[in-house]
Amino acid sequence: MLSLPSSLLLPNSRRSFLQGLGGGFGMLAWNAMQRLALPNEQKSLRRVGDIDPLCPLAQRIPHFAPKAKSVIFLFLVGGPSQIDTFDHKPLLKELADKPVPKPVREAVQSTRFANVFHGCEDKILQSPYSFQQYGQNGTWVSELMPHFSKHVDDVCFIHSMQADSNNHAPASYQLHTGDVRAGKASLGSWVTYGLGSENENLPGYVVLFDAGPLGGAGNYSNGFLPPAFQSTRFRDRGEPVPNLTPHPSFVDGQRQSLDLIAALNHEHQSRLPGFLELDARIASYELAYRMQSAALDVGRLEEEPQHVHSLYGLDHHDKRTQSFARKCLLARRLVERGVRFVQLYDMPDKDGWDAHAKLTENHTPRARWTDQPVAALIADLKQTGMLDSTLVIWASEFGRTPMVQGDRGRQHNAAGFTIWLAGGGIKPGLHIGATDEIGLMATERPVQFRDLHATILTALGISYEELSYSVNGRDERLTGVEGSASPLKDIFS
Amino acid sequence: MRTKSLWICIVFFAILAPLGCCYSKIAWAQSESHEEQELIGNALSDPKNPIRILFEGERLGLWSLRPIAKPPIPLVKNTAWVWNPIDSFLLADWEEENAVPAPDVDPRAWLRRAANSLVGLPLSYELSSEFAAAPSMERFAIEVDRWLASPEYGEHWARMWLDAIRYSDSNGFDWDEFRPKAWLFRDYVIRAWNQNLPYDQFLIEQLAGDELLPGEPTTEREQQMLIATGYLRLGPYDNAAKLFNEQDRARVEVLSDLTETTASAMLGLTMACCRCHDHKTDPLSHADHYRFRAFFAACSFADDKPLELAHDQIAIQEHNAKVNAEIDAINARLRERINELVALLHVEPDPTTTEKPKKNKSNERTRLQAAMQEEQKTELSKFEAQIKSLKAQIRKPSVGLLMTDSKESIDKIAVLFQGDHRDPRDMVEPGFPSVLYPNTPTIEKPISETTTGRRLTLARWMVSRENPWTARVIVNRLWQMHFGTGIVDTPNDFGWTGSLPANPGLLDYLATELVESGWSIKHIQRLIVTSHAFQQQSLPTGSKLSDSTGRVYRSCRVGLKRLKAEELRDAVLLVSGQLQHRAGGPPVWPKLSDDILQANPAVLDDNETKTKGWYPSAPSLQTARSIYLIQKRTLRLPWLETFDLPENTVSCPKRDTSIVAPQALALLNGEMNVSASQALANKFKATHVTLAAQIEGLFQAVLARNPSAEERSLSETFLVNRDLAELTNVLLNSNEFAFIN
Repeated sequence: MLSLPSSLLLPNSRRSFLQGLGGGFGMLAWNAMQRLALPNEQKSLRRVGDIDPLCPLAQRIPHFAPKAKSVIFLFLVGGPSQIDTFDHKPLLKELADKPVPKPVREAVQSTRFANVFHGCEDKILQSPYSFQQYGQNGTWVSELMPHFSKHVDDVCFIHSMQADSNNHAPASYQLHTGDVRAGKASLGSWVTYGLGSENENLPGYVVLFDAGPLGGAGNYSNGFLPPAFQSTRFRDRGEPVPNLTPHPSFVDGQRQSLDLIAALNHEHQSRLPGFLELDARIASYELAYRMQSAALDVGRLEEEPQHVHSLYGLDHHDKRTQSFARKCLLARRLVERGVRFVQLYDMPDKDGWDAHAKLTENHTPRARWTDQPVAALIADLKQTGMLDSTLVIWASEFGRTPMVQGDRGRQHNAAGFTIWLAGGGIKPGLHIGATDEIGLMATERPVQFRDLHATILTALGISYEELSYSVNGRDERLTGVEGSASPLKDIFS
Repeated sequence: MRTKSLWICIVFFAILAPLGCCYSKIAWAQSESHEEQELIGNALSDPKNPIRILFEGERLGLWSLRPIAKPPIPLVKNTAWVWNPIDSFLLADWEEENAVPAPDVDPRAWLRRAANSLVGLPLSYELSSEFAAAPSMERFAIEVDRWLASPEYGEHWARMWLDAIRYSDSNGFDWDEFRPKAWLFRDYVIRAWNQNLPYDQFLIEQLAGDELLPGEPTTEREQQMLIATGYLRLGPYDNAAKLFNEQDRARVEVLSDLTETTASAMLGLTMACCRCHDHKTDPLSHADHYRFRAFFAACSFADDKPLELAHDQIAIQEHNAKVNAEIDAINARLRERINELVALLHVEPDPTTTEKPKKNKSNERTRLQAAMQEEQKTELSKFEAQIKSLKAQIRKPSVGLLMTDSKESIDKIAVLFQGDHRDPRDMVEPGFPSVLYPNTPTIEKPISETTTGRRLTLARWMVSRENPWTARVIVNRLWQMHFGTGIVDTPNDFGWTGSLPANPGLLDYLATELVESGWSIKHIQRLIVTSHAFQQQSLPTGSKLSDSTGRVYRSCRVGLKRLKAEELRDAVLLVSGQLQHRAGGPPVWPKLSDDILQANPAVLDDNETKTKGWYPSAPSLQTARSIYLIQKRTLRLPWLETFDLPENTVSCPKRDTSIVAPQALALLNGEMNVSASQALANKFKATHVTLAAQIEGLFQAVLARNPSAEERSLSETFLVNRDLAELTNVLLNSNEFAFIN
């Protein structure tokens, strides 16, 4: 065989390797193995986005001092109604069954949100839920969230969120990736690409769900970023990741098998120098080996004491509450072990909070399934001191209209809705922005998803303008074109 | 200028509403009176072309708009390197940049590549060794032809086409119902590739196979043409829409899917981008999407259409008529006998039931039953048994997953404001992309009396000489499958946001070669595989190879190819002797864990017609080739998904390859590898006595070569306390097994 002199085969660009093979692993696999085995503090840390191809998930030094180390993103799929949860509008009662007030209508119609009227009647549906004030600031919360309402002083509400699309998948893609189209990199991928993870034996970016978000895997995809930063789905029952345990007759010899695989692979690689995909695959076997025990360990929810089970609702009479409780608890255990980003979907079935008709039949049970676990997560993180370094986000792709749709339902509303953030250096007890008098459109300090993304990255110590990745000669950013996003700087304590 | 009878023109200046038209600067409305209008030329030459006006003369420099012309074969200096014209095109470019071709791979690697590329299966040790002992182009070409003629070729290449046209065995959406007859189309594709059905015919049949037949199919070939229309039925379909009175939306989604998939897969045009507004970068208008869509406006599901050949249909009808006549005769005799018995046994009619004769009869029968003696009962039940057995002989015609036209209900197609079906604007007639074909084409009158000719018109244009996309798009897909990267790296996007052709001359050479060969796919593949370029070493990703003198190496192949999901599974099964041959037929349902099934509401809902639920096939079928595995939309097979199985709701231009730990776990610990390892180890334990022979046999079976001295010794050491099955699994996990050099 004619072969190229190996001196010719040195890479001239690390970035192109990363892009090409998608794994991001270095030249010499033996070195890789040795370095992967080192504890983090003994490795010389790189900066954001400067990926060590040998250990792409290795921790990196942020651009500036971070407030948060990790993120738990609670994604309430389908668009929960802001005016039935956190955006109390007493006027809706007076306006019940009446048309939208003319000034509100005209204000909305002159904006890009004019289509929010599409598909619903010009008739106000008052909230079927009662509201009460909680906490030191007298925060209004509806009766849907009895557990959460005890923690309102721990969270910062943004009442003026806006999305660019009034449809699920595009708006959902935008909240995840910054773009209404599928195919871009998701927030979790960007964060692990930027910072790596604190525990290289677990994936840096984990997603938890039963049936998954609307719009599918495009929501939690690594897009154009190397697959090292892709998400891994964990289950909250049984083996957290499939194929974690070796076959009984292979289990004793697994280490020997892996060593032999590595030896044969190095022999093979010596005949094909320079092909980084070979290093990547060699490294993936070592990671798989370590992941076996690490993933099994994190999935042992039964290790938690009974009071924690009860706090989250693992023993709740409603199975769907149990299921969401298990995910919230698993999220805490993942973050505790250094996982950088956990994306948790509230999707026990195929509908989500998409209450086009019969609002109460949709929202009441969904609130019951999530309220206690979410409240428990905040309480648990706070009590264990992890809330300071964990940014918790509660959000959906949009909210719902005050106008009625069909039989007591509400249409999608991207013009103004509420999300909240907690922990990770966020000032608690804040209320940012506001909607108009009927809760339809953000009128005070509208916030876009790119601003939210910039805020999240800032909390993590990442400069959102500097975090970029070159795709076809163009620098892609989570926050879009340079200068278009602005983080909510005043919400950091 | 053609006559009015051939061309009906559009008036667009008349409705060139300078201010009033918000969805596009220009709308295409149809002239009410079909007066003869001035024909407009293509945008490249005619200033009046609507696209030229719409985009103010910009966007027209797009490379893929240029007609395909056969380029001259370039002259090169290093003529000795050139094996066929493909090499000339490549080398000419490389020489211009002072680069030299990368060296060749060794014969074993060369042949393995060809096997992988043509049939998607591993090479046997015997063939590999025989070839390595006396490698030659002649021998190579013989093997290439053998593979091209083998049934496994179609099974492998069908996968490429099914990716491009978003094949699935289910509807998608909430319920994701199984489509019991979709496999007929999968088998059609396999057969078409195996028979080297000319690509133009292949497209025509998928778009309009039904329009080619004057009546019921009279040959198996005609039957295949009907099955080919399954292409039109394969898109996602929201079967629940009618429950919410949203059938209009579902219908519009079917038409959008047909427009976008057809444009992506067959033309490399991103029609999805102009569903809501004028295209952001390409010379396609908002109206172009709907003009294209209008070709499908009469489409109607034909899932109850009999598929049998005409004479079989007649035979079925005759058979059924005969059986029905016998049933009638027996019924008459039965009735007669009942009447006799009623009279004989003095069974009185029930006075309370007088109104319904049928009910009366049944009451009479009940009372008669009570009055009859055993032998009379037996006598009557014999009649009834005869009728039952005759009814079982009634033959139902076979049906498929088919589409045809409904001439009675042709959708009126309007441009939809922001793609919203509730907001129709100007009406349009069928039309090709107006940048090149602004006029409304005459719809061909099909031989079929029940169809409109619209799809046939589209299909004929698709494969016409003037179409600049079709031939380029398919040869590019072939190139991508053989080399890993297309000449155009974005096979579904030949527009401005897509890649430029790395070698435009080569692309056009192959495209013209395809057309001139009578659209012979195998001809192009033979040309590609027997080029010198096909034997070249691959270059590591991202690096430019140069030596101290500044000489740069070039190759069409970059990086090593990890086997695709299906190839990897098939390879494990084949080398372990477990791959089951299967000559088409209904899909094979793998066994899946409860955990996976319960995560999916769509399969929890078992039903009588077995279109929901999950129905694992018999164990003996579980090791069928991957092309035969069921492909649902919301529950994708986890093992294949781990190895980057693509999304099947939209056209997939190119497989991604990731290398991640869950793949290692699947191969180390997964059930398939464990049983493959055990099967193969048991075979060698039984047939090979010495450890050395067993090791050698294993390397030959899995890696198609003998172990090196070092590998032999490593293996022997390993086997001191480990089992041969574990060694087998080691080899199945090796990089050499997973990567094609």
